[in-house]
Amino acid sequence: MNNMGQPIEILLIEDNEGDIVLTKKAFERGKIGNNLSVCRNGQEGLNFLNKVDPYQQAPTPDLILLDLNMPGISGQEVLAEIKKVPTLKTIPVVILTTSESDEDILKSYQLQASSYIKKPVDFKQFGTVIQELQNYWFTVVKFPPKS
Amino acid sequence: MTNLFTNISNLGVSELLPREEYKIRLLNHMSLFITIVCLLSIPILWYFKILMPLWFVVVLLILFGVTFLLHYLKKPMLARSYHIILFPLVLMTNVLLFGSENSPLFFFFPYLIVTFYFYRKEKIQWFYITYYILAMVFCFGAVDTVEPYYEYPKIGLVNVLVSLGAVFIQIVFLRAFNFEIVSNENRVAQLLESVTVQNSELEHKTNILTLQATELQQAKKQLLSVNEILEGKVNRRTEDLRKTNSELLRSNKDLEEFAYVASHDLQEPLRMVGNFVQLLDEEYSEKIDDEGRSYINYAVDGVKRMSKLIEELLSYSRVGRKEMNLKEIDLNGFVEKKMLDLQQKIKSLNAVVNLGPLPEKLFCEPGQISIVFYNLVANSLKFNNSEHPIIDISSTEKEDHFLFSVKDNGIGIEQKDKHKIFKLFKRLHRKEDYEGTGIGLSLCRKIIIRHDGDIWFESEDGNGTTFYFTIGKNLRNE
Repeated sequence: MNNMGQPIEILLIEDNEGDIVLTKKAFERGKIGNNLSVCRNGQEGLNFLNKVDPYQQAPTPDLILLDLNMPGISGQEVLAEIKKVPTLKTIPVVILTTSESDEDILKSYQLQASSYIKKPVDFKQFGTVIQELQNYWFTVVKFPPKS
Repeated sequence: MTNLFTNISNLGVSELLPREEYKIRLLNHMSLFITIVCLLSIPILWYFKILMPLWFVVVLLILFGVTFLLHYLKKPMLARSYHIILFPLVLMTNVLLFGSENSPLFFFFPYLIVTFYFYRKEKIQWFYITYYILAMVFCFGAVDTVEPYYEYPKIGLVNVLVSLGAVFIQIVFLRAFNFEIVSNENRVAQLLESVTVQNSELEHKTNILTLQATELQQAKKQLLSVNEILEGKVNRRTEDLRKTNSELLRSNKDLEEFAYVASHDLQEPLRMVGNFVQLLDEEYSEKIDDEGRSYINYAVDGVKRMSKLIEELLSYSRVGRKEMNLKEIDLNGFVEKKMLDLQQKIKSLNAVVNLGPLPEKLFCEPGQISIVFYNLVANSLKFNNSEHPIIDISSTEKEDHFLFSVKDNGIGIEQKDKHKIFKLFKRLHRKEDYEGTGIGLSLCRKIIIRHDGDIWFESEDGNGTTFYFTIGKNLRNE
């Protein structure tokens, strides 16, 4: 629950079905109530955020989990687009990816990503990471007020 | 006798122009004739006891002998003038002293001709003509008017001799003159012949030269064409080389790109395998027995090792992928800070890392150089069974590079393995004994080579290892 008492809205933009399942599992094990929406590519993610058909009813997320390595519009392009829109640019974006290259990390932070997390190989670690993520973003951090 | 005559005739003659030669010879003949006349006169005069003319003859001998002397001294011009001027003076003296009876006045004419022959300049000719005419006029005028100082009996023989002499001089002169013409003609003929010979030789040579020129021209053409062919070949080769080089560069780049992408993309499915096997274990644990669980453990272990390998391969390929971004750093603080990453291990192993003075200004890519120090020290700690591992890091400055050494008291490296250790994924030990992927030293080597350096080691089995590496001083950003 966020400070408004509503469940926390999370948008996961990820093309890998396996990762989607894993992420869902990890969040299910978390203690904090949340709504996880999933978009399977960059364009879908942008449509969701901009409430373009068929996402007119989509909620504005509190937190975005973004994969970098996606076919079509890449994660970095999605991030750049998000940061261009005044109503979206205040939403924290956490990069969740396999890459640990300096370039990707640097580029992501330059594009104002809030954090950069490398997906662990170990599921236990993955669970821990998602746990920490939830802990940090949903209990420690104050979100910007929704417009 | 003939020899003497020839010698006297040739007195003063040297390699001169032919005309000059004849002039000298003619004057010699004239002087010789006068000398002979005088010498022949001496016994006659002696016989008739006419003593006065005798001393005069001796004076004449001396006076005309000077001509020979001048010729002998190679003063032909002086001899000529001397002789020509002397002669009328002698005649005039003769007339004044002894009257006209025995004065060979007809000598004037041959002498006039000789003068013409001797002197080609008109002014000089006129001068002598005037001189001779005046002398002649004086002599002829004086014959009847002047009373002779000394009268001696008329000796017909002397007159005969003198007359013969005059004729002789004219004959000699004409002969010389004719000889000169003939010899000139000969000479001209000779010259013509030699010119003709030379001309034909020249023609021959010209022909040869023309031939040679043609040959040269052809050779030049051939050379040019060969040159062109060669140039073409060189150009093609250069082009080939350039292509090969760029292909090599590209394929190198491709390879690195490939390694990067491959390892990047390999991670993804691997992670899936690892995660889902674990998920299987967690969510279906009651349905899996211990054996099944051990299989899962093997699978997870394999995935983790594979993941580690890929990660390191990724870092290895990354070293070559990007352009060098060189910075100047103080290596002392830099390495000390990097060693903090190993602090836990150092403490747990009861180890000591001694940092000697390192370069305060080193131009390098800091991230990569930190990997080198990290890997070498980590290796020294890992391959060390001593109770107190000691690692010494030091450096020396050389002319164009820095030399670094990392020395440990570890297990050492066997000589037979010394060629293997820098190879990619080469491990010398079982993973159960010493963990690792075998990429660390390959990565170090790649980094050092990129820093214009070299890396090697010295080791005795069981007595520790010292790794040496160099970093060039002239590194610049591209």
